[in-house]
Amino acid sequence: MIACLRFPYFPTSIEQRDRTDLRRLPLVLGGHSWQRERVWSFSADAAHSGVRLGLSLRQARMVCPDAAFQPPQPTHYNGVAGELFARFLDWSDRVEPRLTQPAIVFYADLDIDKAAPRMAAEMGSIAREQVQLTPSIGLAETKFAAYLAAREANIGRMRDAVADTIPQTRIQTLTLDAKLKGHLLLLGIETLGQLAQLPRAEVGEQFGKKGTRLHQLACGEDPRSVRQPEQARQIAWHWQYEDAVRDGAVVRRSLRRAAHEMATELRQTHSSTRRLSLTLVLEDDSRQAQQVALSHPVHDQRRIEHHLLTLLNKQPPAWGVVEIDVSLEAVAPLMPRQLSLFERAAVSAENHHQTIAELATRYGAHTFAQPKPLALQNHLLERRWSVEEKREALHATAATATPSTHVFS
Amino acid sequence: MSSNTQFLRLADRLRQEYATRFFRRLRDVTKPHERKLSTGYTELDAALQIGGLPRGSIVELCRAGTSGTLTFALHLMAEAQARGEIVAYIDCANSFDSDFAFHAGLDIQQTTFVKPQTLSAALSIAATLVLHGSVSLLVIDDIACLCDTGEWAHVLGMGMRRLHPALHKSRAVVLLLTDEDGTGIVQHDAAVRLTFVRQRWLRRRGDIAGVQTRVTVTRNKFGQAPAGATIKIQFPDDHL
Repeated sequence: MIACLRFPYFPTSIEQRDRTDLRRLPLVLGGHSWQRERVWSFSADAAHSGVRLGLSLRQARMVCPDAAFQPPQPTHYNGVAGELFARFLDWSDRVEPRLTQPAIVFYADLDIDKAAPRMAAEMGSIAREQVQLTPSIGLAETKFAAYLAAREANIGRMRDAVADTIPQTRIQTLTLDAKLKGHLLLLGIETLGQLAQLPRAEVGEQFGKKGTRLHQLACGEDPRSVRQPEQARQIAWHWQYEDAVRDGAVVRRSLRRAAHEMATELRQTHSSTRRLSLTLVLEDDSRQAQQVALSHPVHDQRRIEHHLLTLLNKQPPAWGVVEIDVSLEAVAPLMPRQLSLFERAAVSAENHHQTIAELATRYGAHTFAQPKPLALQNHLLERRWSVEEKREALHATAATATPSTHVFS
Repeated sequence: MSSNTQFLRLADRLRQEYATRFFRRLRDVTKPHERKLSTGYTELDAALQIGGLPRGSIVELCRAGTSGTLTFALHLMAEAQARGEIVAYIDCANSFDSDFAFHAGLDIQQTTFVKPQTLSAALSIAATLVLHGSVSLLVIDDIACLCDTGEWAHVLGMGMRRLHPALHKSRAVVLLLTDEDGTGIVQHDAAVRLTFVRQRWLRRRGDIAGVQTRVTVTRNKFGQAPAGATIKIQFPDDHL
C-alpha cells in the first residue's frame, strides 16, 4: 500500500505560515507586482481567481487585483521540505519526495495494508508537528492512484482510491504536456476512463510515447515503486572574516578563491555541478542568499567564478559581510560529452598526446616524426648538433630511403 | 510607434521565421577583442591596434626572402612554450631547420612537428589540433608548396571552411607563412595579414646579428589597415 501526502500550494503555505499579514489575502510569488517577472507560485485563492504558472505579474495583478505579491525564497522552501523529508526518513526509509509546482508530494511505501491508514495518519501528524502544515492523504496500490486520491481528498483528510478514482479523473485537471492535452481534448477524450478503452497500439501511434505512458496509467498499470532519491553530493566552502568587510574587491577575491578550490575538488573527483548557491552573512546578522540553477553542468574554475560573481552582483550586500558560504549542489559525475565543432575540450598535455596518437594512426607515424638532436656537443661554436653524424645519418637514410621516407628519424 | 519599437517587432518576427541564430544583434555576437597574442614588439602591437595577434583567427605572414619572418615565428613559438602552451609546426615546404629553431629558443622536444603529404591532410590535421584545444600556436610553413594539384583551390576552400569554426571557439593562433607570390591563396581567410620586407642587416662586430624589417599590416579585421611598424629581429646567438 502506498500513501501519498500532498501539500498543495506549498510555497505560499510556507509564506502564510510565517507571516500573519499574508494569511487572509490571495498570494502570488514571483516578485513585486511592478517587476517584470513571471508567476512562480500562487495560493489557492489566487488559483480560483485565474492565476496560473508562467503568467506575467502584471497579468496576475489584472486577474487578481487583491493579491499580495512577494518575491519567492526557493532556498527557504527547499529547506522546509528538506526538514520534513528528513523527519519522514527517521520514520521510514522508503519515502520519495516529488515537487509538482505549486504542490509537493511525498510517497511512502507502507508494507502492512491493514495498518496503512494509521501509519499514514501518523505521517500527517508528523508533518503538522514539524512544519505546521496539514497534508491531504491518499492511499492506493500504485503511486498514480494514490496521487489522484490525495488530490481529491480535502486538506487534513485521508481518502482511499476506489475503483473509479482513475477512470473518473478528467484529463483537463492533469498536469500533462500541453500538446498532448490539447490533442486528447480535441479528439473528445475527456477522462482517463475513455482513454483506457482505446487500443494501446493506436494510442501509441496517435500520441507517441507520452500517450502510451498515459494509457498505461489510465489502465491502472503503474510499476513505479517508492524509492528514496539518491542524495546528491554537495561541496561547501565557508569563509569568515575577522571584521565586517565593506570592500567589494575583497569579497570578490574570496569568491575567486572559492571557485579555485571548488574547481580543484571537482576536477579531482571528475564531477560537475548544476546548482550554485551563495549566502552572505552580514554584520546585522541577516543572511542574503542567492542561488542559480544551470542548464549545463560546469566544472571549470572560470565558469564557477563567473556565476558566483554574477550572484554577488545581483544583490550587492547593503551591510558589511562577515561570512561567506558557497555551496555546489547536485554534484554528479562528469559525463563524457561528444566533441562537436562548437565545443571546447579540456586542454591538457594528455589530451594533446592522445590527439597526436589518433592523427598518427590516421595519417601515418611518419607524418609526426620528431627531429632529434644527434649530439649536443660539437667542437664548432656555431652548432651544437653533430654535423658529421648527421651527415652519416642522412646518407644512411638516403641509402635505404623509399619515396615516402623523410629526413627526420 | 517609434522606429525602435518597429525594429524590435520586425526582429522578433524574423527570429521566429528564420531561427534565432540567423538574426542577432552585433553587440550580442562580437565583443571587444580581449584575446590577443603579443608579438613581443611594442610598435607592431600598436600597429595591430588590439595589442597583438588575435587569438582564434588566422594570421598570414607574407615574406620576402631573408626578411626574418621565420625567426619572428620561431620567437613567438618559443615565448608561447615559455608560458606553458603547446605549439605545433606544420612543415609543408620540408625546409625546417632544427638547428636554427633550437638556437632560437624553441624546445624541440616539446614541439609537435607535422610533415603532411597532401594539402587536405595538412588542413585536416590543423583543424583537428585546433578543435581539440591542445595547441595555442600553430605555424603552417608555406602551404603553397602543397598546392600542386589541379584541385588545390577546392581542397583549400574545404579545409578553411573546416578550420574557421574550429578556430572560432578556440584560443589558438594559426600563422600561415607564405611567399609574396602566394599572397592570393588565403587572402579572404586571414583575419590579419602582415608583410615583411627587409630594410637592412643589423651587424655586430662585422657579423650579421639580425635584420631590420618593415612590417606592414595590409589587412586587419580588428583594426585599421594599412599600418606599419619597423622592428629589429635578432638572430639567435651562435648561429650564422
